[in-house]
Amino acid sequence: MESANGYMSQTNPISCTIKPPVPIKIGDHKVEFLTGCHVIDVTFPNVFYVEIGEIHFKNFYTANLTIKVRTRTTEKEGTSTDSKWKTCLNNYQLMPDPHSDTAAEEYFVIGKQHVLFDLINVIAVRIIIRQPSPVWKEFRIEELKFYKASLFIPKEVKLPGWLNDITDNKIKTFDNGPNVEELSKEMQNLMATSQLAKSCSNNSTSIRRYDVDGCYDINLLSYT
Amino acid sequence: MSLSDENMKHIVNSLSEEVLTDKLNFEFLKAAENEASRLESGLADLKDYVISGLKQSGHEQKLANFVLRRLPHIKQLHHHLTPEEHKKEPITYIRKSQLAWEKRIWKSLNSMCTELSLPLARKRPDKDFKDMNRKWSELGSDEPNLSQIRPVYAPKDFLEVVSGVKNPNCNDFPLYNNWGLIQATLKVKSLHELRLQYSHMSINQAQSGVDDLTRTPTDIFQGERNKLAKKVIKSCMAGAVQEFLKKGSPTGCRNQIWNSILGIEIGDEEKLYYDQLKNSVLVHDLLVDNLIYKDIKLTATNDDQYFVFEDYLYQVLLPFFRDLVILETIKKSTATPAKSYIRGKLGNEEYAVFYPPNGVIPFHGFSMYVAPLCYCYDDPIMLYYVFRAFYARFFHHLHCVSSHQQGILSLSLLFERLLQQIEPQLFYHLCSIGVQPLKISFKWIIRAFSGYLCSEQVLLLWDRILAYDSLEILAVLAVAIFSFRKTNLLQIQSFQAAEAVMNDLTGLKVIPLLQLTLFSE
Repeated sequence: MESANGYMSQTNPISCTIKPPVPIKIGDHKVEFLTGCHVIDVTFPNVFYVEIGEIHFKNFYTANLTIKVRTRTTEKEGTSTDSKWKTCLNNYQLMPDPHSDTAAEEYFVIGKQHVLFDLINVIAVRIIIRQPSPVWKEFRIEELKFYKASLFIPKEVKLPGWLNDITDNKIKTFDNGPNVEELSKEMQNLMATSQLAKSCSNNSTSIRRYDVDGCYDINLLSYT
Repeated sequence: MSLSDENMKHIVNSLSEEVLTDKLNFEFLKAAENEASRLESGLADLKDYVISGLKQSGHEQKLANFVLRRLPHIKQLHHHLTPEEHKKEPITYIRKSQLAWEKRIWKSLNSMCTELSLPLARKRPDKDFKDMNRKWSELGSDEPNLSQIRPVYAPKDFLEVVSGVKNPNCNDFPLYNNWGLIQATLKVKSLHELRLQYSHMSINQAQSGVDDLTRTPTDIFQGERNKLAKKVIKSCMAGAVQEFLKKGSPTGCRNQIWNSILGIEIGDEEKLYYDQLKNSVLVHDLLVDNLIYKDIKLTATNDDQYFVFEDYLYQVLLPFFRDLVILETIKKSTATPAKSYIRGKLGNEEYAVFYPPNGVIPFHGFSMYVAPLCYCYDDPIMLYYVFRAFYARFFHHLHCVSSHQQGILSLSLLFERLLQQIEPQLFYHLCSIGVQPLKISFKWIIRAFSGYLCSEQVLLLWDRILAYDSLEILAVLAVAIFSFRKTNLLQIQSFQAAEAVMNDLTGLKVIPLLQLTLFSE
């Protein structure tokens, strides 16, 4: 199913386990000192490794984030796990001004164009979220989901036929002699255009109604 | 600004969709048909011929103007899971505040209906229908009984709501608490950013509103401006006209310049649409009409500058509250139109309607959005469309709690921040005697200064709103007025005294004041 803005909404996300965010502390762990930095670990329990095409989430007052992944590497001697965390997205800005509300609750999609390398053979993901501003009580990311492929399918607007064909050079074949099929197609377009023009002229003059069958008797507003 | 492919596609798609549903599309088809019928050579040249014909007949420019007008108002591309309410207003606490405020308004409207035993809407009896139709151009002479009607809310009530909007995720940290009333944590522009934005208004640039007022012979300046105005209007390029307007409009050309930027042309279709709205006024009697009657009587009719336009105001405002084009604008903004059901059909969704039909419940002073325009337009239908365009583009932001940069919340915060920065001593003095500056300036901003300044000055100010496509100038002017009356304000010790100092603004010249505030350092 395609939604209004061109996203496919029926693909299932990759199943994963998201651990609660762990605040990073400095020095004495007993002393409350907010570093404005949390770490979220994500693992994929049912599979050995996954391919990630897109990461979706809703922001809640996080200023920027870094994403690291651990991957399985295929070396000469066979398959082994790379214990190193590799950064695939560094300090990605979510809030243009950390001290104010702009984009604080926005929905984000991290796709292939954002990350440094393709996320294949991924074993674990680590997301480091930061909020340097002391203005906010808390910050986090919500509705975190991983998808194998991009969900975005650009939606094309249907232009009238005569506009669509503007860039075509097909019509030049007429120079070499009339082609009946082409000609009839063009005539059809022309007819469609004039039909459209007629329907336009009918629609544009009709007023949308606010009443129901001419009745607009109302006593009170309705709210709950 | 670089745009991602996705965003670019989204913008192109949104614009194409808008063009296809606009009457511009019909005009194009008509023109293309005309061009095609004039083709003399072979069919092979048809497309090139039609396209070059459309260019020559000025249709390409019309399309460019349309894109220019709509581009800043394209909604951003949203994630597929984004709920509808989030698209309307992305910040939760602001959305909640607006919803709570709307409920208060709805409740108050309902209780007025119950108290006065009046329905919100009813069919007008045939006799009244005929009477009203006959008196359409002099509706002011025969007013309904309004003694018990009271405005649903006044700017003062709304200020209480606006100053109560607080982010629950914000720490109560003294350093971050604003000294002023506004506690919302929104981003507003700095003085430096405003200077860059309004750089065409700087002191070294000749302006309408300054250079045509000096004692030195002004005919050279005025003559030049008039000549240039005619040239840009003739070019039909909305972008060029908007650039021209940044330095103000000569009085005689203002209507043409504004029409060009707002894309207003009155044809048969517009006249018919207005007639249909007028007919709706005659058929249905709304309680909101009484609120508007009362508002006009209390504001414009009482004003030396505007009482002559009383009848025009009815002809614009009564149809306005039945216009569904406005309802569409409201639905896309943070505001939610009030819902109701046809009598006897409560809860039946087939009989659910919006009230009033355009989704706007007027506040005390609403009619002042129209009044200054009466000086530029003498045709009520033209006046109607200009006002509607102004409202849909700017004024609806002024009475709705939203995180929009043009919203009243941002403008109020901008006013407080700028005043603190430019006049710290004055701000401190006023706060220390318990006079919050916003309590004085809020009513100016919510009415876009209409009714406070002399009408000519309001129009010069609205020139700049339209030219820079921004209401931020309202906050800057409010600061400028405080700066200008600083000496007096520093001597007062009470709110009443402060109000007295700021009571009469009719002698002020807005453009020099704005220049002083923005560019004096």
